[in-house]
Amino acid sequence: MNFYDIREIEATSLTIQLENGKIEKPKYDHAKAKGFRVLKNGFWGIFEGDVPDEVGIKIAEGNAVFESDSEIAENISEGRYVMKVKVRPEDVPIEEKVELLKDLEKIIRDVCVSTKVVYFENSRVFRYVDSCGSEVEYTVYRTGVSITGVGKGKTLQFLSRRLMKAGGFEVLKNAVETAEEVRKILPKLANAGSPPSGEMNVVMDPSLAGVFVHEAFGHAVEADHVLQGATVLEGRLGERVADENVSIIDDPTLPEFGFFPFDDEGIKAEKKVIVENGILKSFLHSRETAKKLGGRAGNARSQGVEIPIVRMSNTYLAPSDYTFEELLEECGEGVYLVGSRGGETNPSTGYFHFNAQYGYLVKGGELKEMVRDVSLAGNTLDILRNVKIGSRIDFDPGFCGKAGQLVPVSDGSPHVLCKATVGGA
Amino acid sequence: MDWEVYHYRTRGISAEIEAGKLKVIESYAESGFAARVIVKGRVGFASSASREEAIKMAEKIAKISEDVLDDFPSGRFRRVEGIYDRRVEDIDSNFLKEEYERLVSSISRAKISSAKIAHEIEEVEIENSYGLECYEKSTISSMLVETVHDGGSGYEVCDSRTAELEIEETARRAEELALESSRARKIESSVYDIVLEPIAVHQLFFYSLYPSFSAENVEKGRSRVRIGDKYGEITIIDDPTVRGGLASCSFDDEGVNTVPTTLMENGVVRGYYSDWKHSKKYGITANGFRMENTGYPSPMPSNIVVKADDTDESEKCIIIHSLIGSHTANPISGDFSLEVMNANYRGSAVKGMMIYGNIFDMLKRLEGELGEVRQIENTITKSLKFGKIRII
Repeated sequence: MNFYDIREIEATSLTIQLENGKIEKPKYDHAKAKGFRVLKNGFWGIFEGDVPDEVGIKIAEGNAVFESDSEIAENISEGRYVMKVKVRPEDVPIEEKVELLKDLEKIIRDVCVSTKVVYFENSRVFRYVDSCGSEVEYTVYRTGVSITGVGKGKTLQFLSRRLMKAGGFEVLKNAVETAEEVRKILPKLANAGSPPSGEMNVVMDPSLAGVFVHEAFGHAVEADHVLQGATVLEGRLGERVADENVSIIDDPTLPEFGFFPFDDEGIKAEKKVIVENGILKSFLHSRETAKKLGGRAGNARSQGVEIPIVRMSNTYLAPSDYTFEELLEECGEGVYLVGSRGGETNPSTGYFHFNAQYGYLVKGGELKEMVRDVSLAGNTLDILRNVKIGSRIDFDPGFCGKAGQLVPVSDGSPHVLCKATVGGA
Repeated sequence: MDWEVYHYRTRGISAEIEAGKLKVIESYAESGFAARVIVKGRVGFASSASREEAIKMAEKIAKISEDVLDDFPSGRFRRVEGIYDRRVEDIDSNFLKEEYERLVSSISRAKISSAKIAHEIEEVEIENSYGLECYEKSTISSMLVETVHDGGSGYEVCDSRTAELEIEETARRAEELALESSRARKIESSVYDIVLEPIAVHQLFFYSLYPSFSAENVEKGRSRVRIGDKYGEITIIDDPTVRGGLASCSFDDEGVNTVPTTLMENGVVRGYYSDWKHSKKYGITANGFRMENTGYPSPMPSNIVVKADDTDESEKCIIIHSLIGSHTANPISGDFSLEVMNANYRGSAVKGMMIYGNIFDMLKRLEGELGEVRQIENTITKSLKFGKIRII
């Protein structure tokens, strides 16, 4: 046996859902799971199941029956971390959480035909040991609310806002502002018109630009895609891949939704500069891709104890110096797109697609009518060749679903001006 | 207090292939309990590896619940055929290696960037305080293969309730897509007739159409469809009883006997799919399913069988294999704008296209079905032809 590791996770969570003013589907979860990996003759044998360590390793070894060329960076990692939070979610009475949801729902109720406000809290206790001698243990809390309203005007539209971070109950301190934003925007959105279509100037708000950075660029620098020959950035380290004012960073140590102190291969988390002034500096790595391609491990993550794969954490486009008003002026004629309903990319070709929550026409450098159901598509490298970047960064939380495994992430960006294909119904 | 306990046990084995090489064999065994209780009319829910803990936590959380349920289902059910193959129990690493060898020997011109072959056995047991006791064991096998060639890419899938997968045929289709994609060119923005192949039909319908037929969404004002509305000539049936269907089951995740439900008949909305809670108002359809084993049952579609008039006119159409970003479609309004992944126009591959519109308007432009029936996840359909769709 060349290598083995054992991961153990104990997770508890509470979800409370207020739908149309009523608490529905309240839910507690308590889960324990163990994952065992064995690398033998360059081949991985894996077993997931809640069994004693020696049994799990034996079953995993029994799966490592063939030969291949896998090898790993044999880092030794040690450490313990318990997230310090101001208010532990479990110390807050459940009635107070219900009260918060009801207060938030009241704010949006009279502009909606349907409302859904969801509270969640989650704690993840992670333990890791391996045959290199690593021993890691951490406890991380995540807390959040999502606020969704359905409004009826010319069309039936929904608007969703999420406030989710690594931390305790204190992360919800701005929840009222989040609900106020839904109240303000939704009635206009339900009466918004269809967007224009075709290639045009686009100003993306920080939320949408963050998704662009994640979907369109971040997935292409995940080194497992490099080994698969499935990224447009293969073999381009050290080359210019974007405009010189583009710098992209992945930093799991930021206290955002994608925070982790150690990755799921037990490696201490660290900030990585992926692109610096337009030059591709680094891929994101697991132990295996780091060994094969020459890089630093620390970006392997998994849902539960599934196979750790190369993932992003808190990924952001570094700020530059344009104000929002200057970007609109530079845009001249085009659209300003706000918020995200998610996106998807094909790293092999660089083609991406994502959907904004709403937008505005830009005419003569000024914001005009609101538009709905608007999408953005294009090719990553084409777009990054010519972008103008704002000065104030914001992060937006979400879940990334690569390979069917959901992990919490956040995407950050300032406002960004680019040229892309816009479409809408 | 009334109670319901959903007990699941899943085990399986899978192979992962990276850059054409067999890299990982993984097996797993998972079990747990999800408990739902009704205390003074209020519903609480919890999941745990321990039955006792799940019930205790569900009872505790019920005190803040305003979710009301009168009772849990009871009664008998009829067995659905073709969802269990005993041979899956015997699948081991050597079987997977043979499947891997069949896969790589089927592709010679493109490269396999990644692939996964998986076989799973699932056991579900539901009991409740109304005397319901039901048990079902099922199997499912699947393969996903992604291919690349000279800047182009493609993917294909196959699934089965048996141990057998159509590995060679699936691999060859994925290879052909990557080869074609490497030669793709852009086409003019305009209005075209299009054919959505089964993967694209599923991707579009799953996110933009099916949610509108959920009784819960109708009840909560999150659906624009109403019984009697008419959208074109399509027929859509939710049918969990299809022999060997990927979403077939003898009872839903609440223990209700499964039956087919017509959602649209020749374009006219005929019904909604419902969980037990909403069945009092919308009728019993046995569609209380869990997104995950530890999840709360909600109305979800089972096998969706799509039917339309036959057509064979596809020569002048853009043939679309798959879409990117389908989960971003608006599940309430039905509006969508999606990037096309692999497509072909008059014999040549095309790229860099976005299709957009509204699913209900699009149904009115349905001109018919053609090709072979395939099941993609829960959608059973032929390719569908739509007239005059805007492409940018």
